[in-house]
Amino acid sequence: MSFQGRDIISMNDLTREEIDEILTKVPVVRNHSEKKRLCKGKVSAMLFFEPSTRTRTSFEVAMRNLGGETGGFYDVSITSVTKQESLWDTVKIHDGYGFDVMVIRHPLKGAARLAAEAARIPVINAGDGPNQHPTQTLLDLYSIKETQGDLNGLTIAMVGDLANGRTVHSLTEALLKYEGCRLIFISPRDLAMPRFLIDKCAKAAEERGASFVEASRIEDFITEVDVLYMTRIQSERLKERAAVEKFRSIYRLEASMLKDAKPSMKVMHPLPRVTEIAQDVDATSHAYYFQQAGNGLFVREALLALILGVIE
Amino acid sequence: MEPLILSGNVVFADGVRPAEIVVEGATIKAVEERGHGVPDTSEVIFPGFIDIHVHAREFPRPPETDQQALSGWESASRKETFSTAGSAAIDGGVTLYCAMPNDVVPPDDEHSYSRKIETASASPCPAVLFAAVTRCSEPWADLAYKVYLDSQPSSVGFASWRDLEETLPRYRGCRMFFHAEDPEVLSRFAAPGPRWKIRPPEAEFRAVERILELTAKFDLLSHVCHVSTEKAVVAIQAYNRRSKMPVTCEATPHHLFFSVDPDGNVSCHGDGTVQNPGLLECNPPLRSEHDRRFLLEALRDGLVDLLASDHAPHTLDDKRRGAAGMPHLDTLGPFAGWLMRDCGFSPVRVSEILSTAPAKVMSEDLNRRHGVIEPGAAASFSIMDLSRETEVEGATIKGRGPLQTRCGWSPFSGIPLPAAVKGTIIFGKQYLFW
Repeated sequence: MSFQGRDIISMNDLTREEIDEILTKVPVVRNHSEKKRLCKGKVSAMLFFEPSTRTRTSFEVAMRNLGGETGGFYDVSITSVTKQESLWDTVKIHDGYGFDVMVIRHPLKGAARLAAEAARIPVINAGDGPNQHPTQTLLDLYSIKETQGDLNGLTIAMVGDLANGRTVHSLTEALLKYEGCRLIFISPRDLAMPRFLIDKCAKAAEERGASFVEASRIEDFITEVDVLYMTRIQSERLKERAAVEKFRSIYRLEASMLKDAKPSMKVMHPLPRVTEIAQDVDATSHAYYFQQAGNGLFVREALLALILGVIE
Repeated sequence: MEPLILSGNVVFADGVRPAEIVVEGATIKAVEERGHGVPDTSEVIFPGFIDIHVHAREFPRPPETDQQALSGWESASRKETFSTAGSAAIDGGVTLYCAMPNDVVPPDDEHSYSRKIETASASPCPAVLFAAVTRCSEPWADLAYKVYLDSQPSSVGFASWRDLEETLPRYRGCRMFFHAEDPEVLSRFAAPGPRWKIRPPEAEFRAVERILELTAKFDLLSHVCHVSTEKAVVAIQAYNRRSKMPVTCEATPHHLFFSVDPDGNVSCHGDGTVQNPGLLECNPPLRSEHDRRFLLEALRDGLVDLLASDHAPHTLDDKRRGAAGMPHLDTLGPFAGWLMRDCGFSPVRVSEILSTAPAKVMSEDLNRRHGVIEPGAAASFSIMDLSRETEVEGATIKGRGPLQTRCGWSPFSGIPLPAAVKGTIIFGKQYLFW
């Protein structure tokens, strides 16, 4: 299985075997003895059509850790894009500058696929609007595997705004590729998992022994979950503003709620958090969200190394 | 449960014959042809009418934070909702309709599309949704994909052929439905003026030519929406003579009924000037009387595959501000009556253009269960009475009640149509009007 020269646009493009292969390579690259020289002479184009601090920084640091360099732009206002240059043309022009790989972030869904069609060099999607952010999903999967040892047969609860959260949708679709996972969707009714994903869960339940349940209280499931994946509730998404405060308190995780949890249970969050995880959780052995964010760096290192063909 | 039995003059693929239809649940269980024992009646039972071109206007409510989208949603929902469009469809004898995707927030990916399905579930008449093709979208399932071409910027419009050519390779082999007006031709006529002047026939013809080229290049299953000119129909026919996969096309009631002369006078099937031509502004615009007559014959003789309403409701205020389009659902069945009584269409041809062909063009799924009256097919029927007239007066249908479309007006106001919908039966559920 070779990833050299491949575009990484959507998790849907990756088979379970390919996901496993990428995750297996994360520690290999992370601890590589020649890591500093792996990507010597390679340059990554960074096309950031909208601001992003963490994704951008971790890609930059990842490239630097591998001995490579980055170039491009992070501020559309100083480029020809403001002169109404089309995305296609902007990508074409950067494609001609001799970069080895292109990392793109754009507010429009589908923009990364378009860029991949315009560019001859491989393209990594670093988020296209509400659509896909595959490196986020890969780092979530890596974090789950790292803490639980396996991606099969796990019980994973997702909590919060499940209607609008790109990360939980993508993670759900990825987890359904594995055997016997149990998914617990905890949200207010207005912010429940979209129908089409529930349908996919039902199909996976038939085909691969998955199971799922939609619920409204974290406490009811705390003893059985392996991973508690929290997300932010954005007040503007709720139909009634009065409900926001109520939901904020219902979907707020505090250390006292974790006393009956499995010792190995980990709390994750795509960050930034607002009020949904109390600070007293940080000190428990369950808190994993900062390591999770840190894993983003290692996953991006592995992905760059694979796509640039510098490791097998 | 008692099985539902319908008896009367039934429109089969090869003729109209008296028969008895036994319905069990949502499906036709048996069809028995009877030489006798069927009452002599002016009522005719058609396989359920399917309107594949409806703007139901409503889409999922955007969040409060997106003020622009929210105001678009409010303005759209004042024109029509899935609930009102569905009621209008049933009153017009329509048993299933297909909703266009040109929303402020268009359904162009699995997520937005599935949210719109939830919104559409409010429709009392089944609605199948088109998916939008946008500059960055890609197909995700075997659906009907709609391409808009227009020089005016919008959430779904392609303003240049180059953009479309870069998008279509992703849709290789898909079912594509095209709004055919060349944006580059339209942009040359951007001056204010009535649409028949600034959106000339040339724009449609050029667009159809390009669409035919792209169809061959990318192996598309193409359908041209609302053709309005002889030249466009002839171009499609010429293409189909040399292609293995025929390109299909549709005509709308307004292009078949109204025309405009070189002085800008709008007339109703060739005689009688229309009083308020502003209400009939639409895209593509009304054409010459020559084109209207050609289109009518082309639809009757099979050069045009089907009738689709392009039901495009606007409030009268929006019309005064120049909005394009007019409502049709409430009167679609009666309009088919006009085709039969005044234009030489047989009932079999009406069932082809309003049921068989629409089901076939839309999807395998619809084609399997709709468009014919036979055991195993969906128990959806349109029952027409050819001895009664339907006349719209203001916002009501005389002797019947208010128009169901939310916009509350009809282009046929004051023009009697020579048939009435007696009943609409949708998957075994009956809506009878007398």
